[in-house]
Amino acid sequence: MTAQAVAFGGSSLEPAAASDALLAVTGLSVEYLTPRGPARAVQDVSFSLRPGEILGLAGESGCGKSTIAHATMRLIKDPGFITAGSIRFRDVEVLNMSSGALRDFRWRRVALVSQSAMNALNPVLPVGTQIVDALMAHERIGRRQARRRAEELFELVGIEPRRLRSYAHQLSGGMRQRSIIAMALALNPEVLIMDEPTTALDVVVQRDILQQIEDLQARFGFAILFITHDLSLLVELSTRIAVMYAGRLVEVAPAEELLMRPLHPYTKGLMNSFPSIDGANERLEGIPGAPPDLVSPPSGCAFHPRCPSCTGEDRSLYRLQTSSRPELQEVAPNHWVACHLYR
Amino acid sequence: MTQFVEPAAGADALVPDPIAAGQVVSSTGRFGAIVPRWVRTLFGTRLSLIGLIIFVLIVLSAIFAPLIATHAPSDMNGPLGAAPSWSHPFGTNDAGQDIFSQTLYGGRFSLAVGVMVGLAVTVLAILVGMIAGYVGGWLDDALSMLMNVFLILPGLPLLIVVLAYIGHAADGPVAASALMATVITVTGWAWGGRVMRAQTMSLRGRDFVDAAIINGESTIHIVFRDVLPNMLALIVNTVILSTMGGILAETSLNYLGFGDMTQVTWGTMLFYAQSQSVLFTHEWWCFVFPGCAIALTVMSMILMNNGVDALANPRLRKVRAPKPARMQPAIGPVSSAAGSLETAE
Amino acid sequence: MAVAEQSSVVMDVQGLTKHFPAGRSSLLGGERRFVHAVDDVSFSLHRGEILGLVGESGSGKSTIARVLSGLYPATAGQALFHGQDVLKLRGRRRMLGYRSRVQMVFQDPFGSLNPVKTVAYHIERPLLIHHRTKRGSATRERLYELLRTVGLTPPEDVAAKLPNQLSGGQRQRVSFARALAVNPEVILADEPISMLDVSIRMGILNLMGRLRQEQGLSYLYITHDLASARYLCDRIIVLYAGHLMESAPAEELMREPLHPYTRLLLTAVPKPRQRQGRVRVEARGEIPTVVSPQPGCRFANRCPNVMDRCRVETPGVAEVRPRHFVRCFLYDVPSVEGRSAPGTGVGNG
Repeated sequence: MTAQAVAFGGSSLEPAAASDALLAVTGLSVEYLTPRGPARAVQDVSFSLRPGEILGLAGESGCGKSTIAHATMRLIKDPGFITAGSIRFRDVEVLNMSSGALRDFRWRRVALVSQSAMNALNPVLPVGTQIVDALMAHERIGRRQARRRAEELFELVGIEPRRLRSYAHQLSGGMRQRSIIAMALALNPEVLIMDEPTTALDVVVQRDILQQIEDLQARFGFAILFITHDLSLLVELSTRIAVMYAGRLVEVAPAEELLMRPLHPYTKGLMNSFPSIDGANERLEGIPGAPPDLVSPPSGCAFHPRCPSCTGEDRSLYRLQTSSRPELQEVAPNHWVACHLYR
Repeated sequence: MTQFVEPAAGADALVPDPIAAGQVVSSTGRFGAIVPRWVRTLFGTRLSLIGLIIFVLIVLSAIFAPLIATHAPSDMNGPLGAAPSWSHPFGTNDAGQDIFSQTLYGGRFSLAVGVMVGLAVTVLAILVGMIAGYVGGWLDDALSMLMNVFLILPGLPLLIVVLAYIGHAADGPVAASALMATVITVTGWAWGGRVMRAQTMSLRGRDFVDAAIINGESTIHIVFRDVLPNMLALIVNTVILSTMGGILAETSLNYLGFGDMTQVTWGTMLFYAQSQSVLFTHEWWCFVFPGCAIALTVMSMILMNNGVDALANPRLRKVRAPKPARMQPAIGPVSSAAGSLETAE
Repeated sequence: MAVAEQSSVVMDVQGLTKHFPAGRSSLLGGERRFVHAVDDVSFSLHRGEILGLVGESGSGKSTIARVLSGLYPATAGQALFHGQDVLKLRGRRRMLGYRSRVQMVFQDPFGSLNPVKTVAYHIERPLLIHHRTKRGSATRERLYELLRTVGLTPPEDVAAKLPNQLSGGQRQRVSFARALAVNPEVILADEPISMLDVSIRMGILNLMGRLRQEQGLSYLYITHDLASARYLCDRIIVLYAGHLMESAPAEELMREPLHPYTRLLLTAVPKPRQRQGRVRVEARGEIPTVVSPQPGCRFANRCPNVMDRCRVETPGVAEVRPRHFVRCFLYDVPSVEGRSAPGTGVGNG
């Protein structure tokens, strides 16, 4: 555990707050003000992203995963507040950066493809103009050079360069998403944060784009933080997977390991929520109940009202589950769980 | 095919309220349950509450004018052109009439016209705009044409022309104010109608309207019981702005001399002030007081209109909660000044 | 459909076609253009059956639901409900009668409920309209019963809530309760789970299955997700660009997909339980919006098995295995233009 992690009482995830981590988030906490009180969207979250790694972040809507993406890029605005934690990129503290350093950091080192990216394209400008403008704003290159680069980028993501002249509404959903990805890759970032990039797309287009992302990642070697509510996508794509619930990490493991041996009841419940097209057509239960209220979450372990292992049969266990919050612990090599069942 | 047996009913028992966007902080205190929630939201912001108070005071002063005023408004017994004094707090005009009393009584006419216009325009806009927006097709084409015709006609000149012909048909303040309100409404309703139509069309596309149709609801019920309540913010906005427009139209017309000049209204007071060339005689009290009355009324309405934003967009509602503790100094502050940088897109 | 099952057919759709106007071919005059959202789709829905309509956006699946629910008029075709063609219903009373037998659940759990009305309002309205009960204890009782049926308890608390006080899954259950209020025979479910959180979806699917068992409901389950269709449905129809491409019992479709598009869909679906052996999907191109249809298969320019014939003749639908229909020249189907191969006529879904 690094000194900083100890200072904030946050659980550092691995000793990889050490030098080989590209992005190291430690003890991050973010709150949103609501009329009913502060909603703790992110509580004491720590993880690190190594070069070339694909880290998947899974959780239901409202669990705080998008907030983490925005916090990393310093995009949290009123009524949101970062209340604790540190975000270090190559050992430089992002939350302290001056505006010059921030400008260099955003888009050039870390790029964000967010959920509403498709609607972020300006409807009255051709797509090419937007890419060229963004390029020229961040690099000292002329318009023609920027144009050529934009064409290269479009080819890279599999769109014909002549579509640079198209307007956003003339492109299909898949193409719009590809152009957003092209923009994100424009300055060769080292980290790409993708927040639900394929949620609104059809399944064939989704598969296409995910393949594209994998190809680009293999070619350019950037790290990806892939955020989604659809765990089935992460299982195929990621190196490691982190599962969030009610603003906290509840399980982190290599993808293979998580698939084979999910430990946290929530993860198991999620795995039990995906019907498959092959194999036996078994009955699946999903997870009963509804996502927790982040303003007044359940006491103790936030998952306990929905947990099949919280039955009250074992009195001492039940007391723990309802009163004490479980901490992330490494229960197997590289496999961390926050659950009272594994003490 | 798998057997479907669901777990017992408790499985999906109600969980505590999820973050309910738009739930106003309950600060009702005195009024509690009597006042509907939307009224509380509308006047929940400080500005709109101030506007409401001012407006209510002005309205009360108009209603209770006979009790408050020191003289009858048309009495010409006072000193001619006297500056404000204890006996005539707002002074007198060149005919010896008490400005204070005139301002109070004049408010009755102007406010009455304003309120009548506000209500009439809103009702007309709702009827025409919503029917056009919901039903669509040829009915929409016809009603839109109607609205466009009225929109094209230049407002003030039209008012002047119409009043020139029939302005003297009315007798007495009630009839005169009603006539003026009618004329203003007829020439000015179309803008509200188009706005209602646009909003209705937008709501028409929502699934709950289709669901109501599939339930077998009648069109009238859907338009007025299902869609209309969703347009509350817009309706309040229209009422406030139309009332304001009505007051301003009335004062403009009377100031220009096109109304019934025997009535005492803020507009006619200004007309007389103008015709008496008070700018030359430096009798500022003849136009400053009625002018301020108009300005104050209009301002109070604009302030009330501020509350409409909160009604329309739950996210804008004031959140009265202490800001959470910021990060420990060990890390350094999160400089929110840096938040003004361009966002990543 | 096999003759023996004819008696249990609840809805028999033949040649359903829906075109939307799309302007003119030139600025002043010229031909009127139409978007061919649905062309010549035929199928039968049996009592107690769950029939899946699977397709991506632009396939026409939602349009079919909206036409069958009476929200849009059909351009052509017929839908026989208990022998009567419901696409030609005239008169409020007949429409109301149909609406008390065929209901709909929508995709957007928030948009399909009126934000300013309580749960009680949503469910009581159909009760009042169709059964002409006055407001009173009988209606209240039925309301509570319906809420209990869909798993929303305690009903007294839920009834007073506004939609924004409920979670997405709860709102969908309210939508189902509303649909059930009239005791329908058929529910048209238009992507009921695609906007819900992953962990809640199974709850809704299981609810649908239970209601089918308890109340003998039939469903038309519209979705883009083949996996959930396989889980829930007895039979699946695959749509592409307004055309029915394949129709088969669910398990058979998974085991033996005949149409190249179905195979493409199957390879594209994420497989949550395997990491190895992911097959690359190579079909580029997008789903066309069909405006002035040329002869030829609509999938031709994306099809890995495309033949010359596919570009000039339009394949028709034929039953190439028992109860397994497909529209593809890889099999023995007639062409719509009436050339070559014998076989059943077009439109016998």
